[in-house]
Amino acid sequence: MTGLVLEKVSRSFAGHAAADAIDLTVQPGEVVCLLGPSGCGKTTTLRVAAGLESADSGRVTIGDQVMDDTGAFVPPEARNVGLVFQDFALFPHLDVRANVEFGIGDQPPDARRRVVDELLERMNLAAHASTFPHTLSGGEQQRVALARALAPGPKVMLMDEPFSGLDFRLRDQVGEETLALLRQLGTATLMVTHDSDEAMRLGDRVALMNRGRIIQQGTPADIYHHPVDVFTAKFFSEINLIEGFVKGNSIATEMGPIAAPDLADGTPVSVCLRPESLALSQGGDGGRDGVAATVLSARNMGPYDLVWLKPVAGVAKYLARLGPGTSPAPGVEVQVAVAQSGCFVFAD
Amino acid sequence: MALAEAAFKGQSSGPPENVRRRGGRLSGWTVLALAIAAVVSIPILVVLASVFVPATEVWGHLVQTVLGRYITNTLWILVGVAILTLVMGAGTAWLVGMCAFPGRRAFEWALLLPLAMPAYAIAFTYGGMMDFAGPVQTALRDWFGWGVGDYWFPQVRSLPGVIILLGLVLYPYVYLLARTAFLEQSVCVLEVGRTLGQGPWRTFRRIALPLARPAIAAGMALALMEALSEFGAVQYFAVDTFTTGIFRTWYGLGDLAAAAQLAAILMLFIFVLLALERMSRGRAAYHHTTTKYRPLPRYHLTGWARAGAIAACVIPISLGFLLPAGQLAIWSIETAPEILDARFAREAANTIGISAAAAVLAVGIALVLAYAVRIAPGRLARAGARLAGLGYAIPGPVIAVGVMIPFAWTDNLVDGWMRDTFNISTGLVLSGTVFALLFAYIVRFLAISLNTVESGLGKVTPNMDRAARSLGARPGATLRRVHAPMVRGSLLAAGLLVFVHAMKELPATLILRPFDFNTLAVRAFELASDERLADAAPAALAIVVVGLVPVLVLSRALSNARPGS
Repeated sequence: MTGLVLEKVSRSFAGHAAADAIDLTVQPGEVVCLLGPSGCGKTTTLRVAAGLESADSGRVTIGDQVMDDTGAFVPPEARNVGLVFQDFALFPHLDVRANVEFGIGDQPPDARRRVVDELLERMNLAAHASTFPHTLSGGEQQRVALARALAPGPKVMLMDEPFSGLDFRLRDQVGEETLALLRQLGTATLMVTHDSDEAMRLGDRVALMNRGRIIQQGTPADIYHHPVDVFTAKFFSEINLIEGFVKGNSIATEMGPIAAPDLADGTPVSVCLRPESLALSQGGDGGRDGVAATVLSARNMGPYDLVWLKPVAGVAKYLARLGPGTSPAPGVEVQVAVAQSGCFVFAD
Repeated sequence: MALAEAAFKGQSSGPPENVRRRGGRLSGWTVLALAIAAVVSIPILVVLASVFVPATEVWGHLVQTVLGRYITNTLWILVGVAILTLVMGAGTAWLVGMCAFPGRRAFEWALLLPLAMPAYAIAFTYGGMMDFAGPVQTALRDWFGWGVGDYWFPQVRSLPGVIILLGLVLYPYVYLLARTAFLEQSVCVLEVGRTLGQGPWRTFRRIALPLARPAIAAGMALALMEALSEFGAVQYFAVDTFTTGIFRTWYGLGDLAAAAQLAAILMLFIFVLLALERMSRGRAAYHHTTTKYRPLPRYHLTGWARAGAIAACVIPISLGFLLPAGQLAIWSIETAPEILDARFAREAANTIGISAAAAVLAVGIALVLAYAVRIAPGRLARAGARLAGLGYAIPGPVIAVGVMIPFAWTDNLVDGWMRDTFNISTGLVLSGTVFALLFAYIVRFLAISLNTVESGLGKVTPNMDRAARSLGARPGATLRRVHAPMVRGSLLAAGLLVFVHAMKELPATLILRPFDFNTLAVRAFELASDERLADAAPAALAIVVVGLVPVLVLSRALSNARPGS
């Protein structure tokens, strides 16, 4: 039994491939975050999964049932998927109970009442059963939207930026509670987001999309520590980017030599240094301890410090991320060492 | 590329999804929308096609004798009504929208009252009041002891008379849109103007007025289209325009082709008007760039300014509504006992019946069209809806001619075929029946219901459609369970508007009505044409009173039109 499976799903609009050969699997009880910049095709992918768009080619399967394949298309109302939108899209003419009941109108009244009561109780909405959506707070509306989507007992939950309509203070808490519930219910959840922090915090796995294609899939830690290209590396944090050429399994940079054991001489490369991979020390002897650099500015960001550096022998500026309160003052000369764990080399 | 994708993503806006199967066949909704549009646009196409029919002798005669007069009269009316509605409409809108003076709240809605007054009713009312034997001249003679021919008195049955009376009943279109435009302006934009060193008056001139310009232009376009379509008032005052020309060519000379050719020229005026309105919007986008609203600080008027503001509001309300309505009421009291008979009741029933039928049909068709555009977006469905809504721009006599030609043709065809085959004459099946009249009403007023229904459907966001679909509701069920209850109010409003417009309609009814089928509008006009003005008053007053209902609804909606408050 699988949850949601997309195989080689493509969809183009006016010759532009919005989703290009998407392969994606979401297991029951798993939360997969579909992450990417705006316009990358993540919403199109979600809509194809929901049946709001049909795929041009490829196959969509939910549970064991083929939903979209050459010559077969199951419309959204017959797919038993839950949808939650950024704007919640609650029906303004129905009260909370009627909103939640909307998708189970064909069940007998008793069963209906039981399902709705249980969901409202669970979502802490019981007191609001007979109020209208516009009187609710954002967090409450979000919970109603979720309860409405959950009422028919969908196997798959599709969420399009479900938490970005919420106040940022609410976002983390509501997100974690919501997804904990979905995991517990065994629902396969695909959540679209453009926020890498949110994806890393909430997703069991993350699929990063760009220009209609999935660039990389994996656990958040996997993607963060083993990005497959510059785009992926850049998407999760600010990076220091250096262009160069391989010479003798190494790249000479302003930040010192960077190892490139598997690349042939003369290969043009991009080197990405995460800010936290730059370690600063003061009063060293140069040489092996790193490269001499001048501190341009330092700022405490609360839990960490951000420091801009310029190598004494270089021209570019580099960003380092340090523990709070540990940064040297501007103008001070320091030694910068690069930790290999936050350093990625990609052949261009 | 990213743009194309963004355009199709439709996260929070944009059309909802197409539910075609793979392979992309036309959806049933699109086909339905196109079919409706095709049928509804027949009259317009017929009139346009008439340009290619060889000109008849009558046409040559028309060109030599009256065409020049039609054109100059029509142009004068356009210019005069444009100026009057701009001054009265935009001026009063700014006064009640941005200033504070005694009576402002009452003026706010009372300025809409003349909307309820059909132009033909105000025309014959003033015609009677200002006549030699009318109350105004009689009073003047009594006061000053003048005799016949001792004094000069303006002739209301003239081109200037028509222009002034049309201005008086049409300025509310400009007022309505301009007022909303002034009120919707974000106070932030106006305050930025102030902080950039502009005084309140300069802020009005340089920011508020330019921002309201598209709305004012749209209001004027509406008013001028009504002026071009006006038949009753110009016919009564014997000012020759295209509408009366079409009517006379068809009724008097019996030349349908020449009438259609006149109608085609009139439509040229309309298209120029629409193009001008489009152009006046210019390239600047007049979207509001901020969503912050606070109560506008009003300019408190004192002294002469205050008196002037009150006068500026009282004059159009009195001349455009209170005086003529009062005169109609006085006449009605005199003649009601005689006029309110079984015949009047039958005519009232006719009017209500056909107007209600037109309202129900127009709203139903509009709902189908608007829903088709939502559910199967695409150039085809959209073009269909646009085409179907074109009728409102087309004057009543033009539509009447456009309905008459194809219906008569079909009747002749059917009759001929039946005679040849079965030796039975079917006579007139379509033309000369209530069906033809109903069809003309729908063609003419579909746009009204379409606009209202579309704006109502706009409240249902595409994501609500998607949510309903994902919760197991098919398109039909979504329409019934989500759209219908949410737009019920808009549907009622749309029906009400079509009802009132159909009830007031005169020229198409005159041309298309079945033999012996009278509506209140036709009756009032016929009695007035026979100079039985007092006898015409009860029917006209009934139309005015019913016409007040949407005006009052409108004025109530208006008082809470300001976003964010």
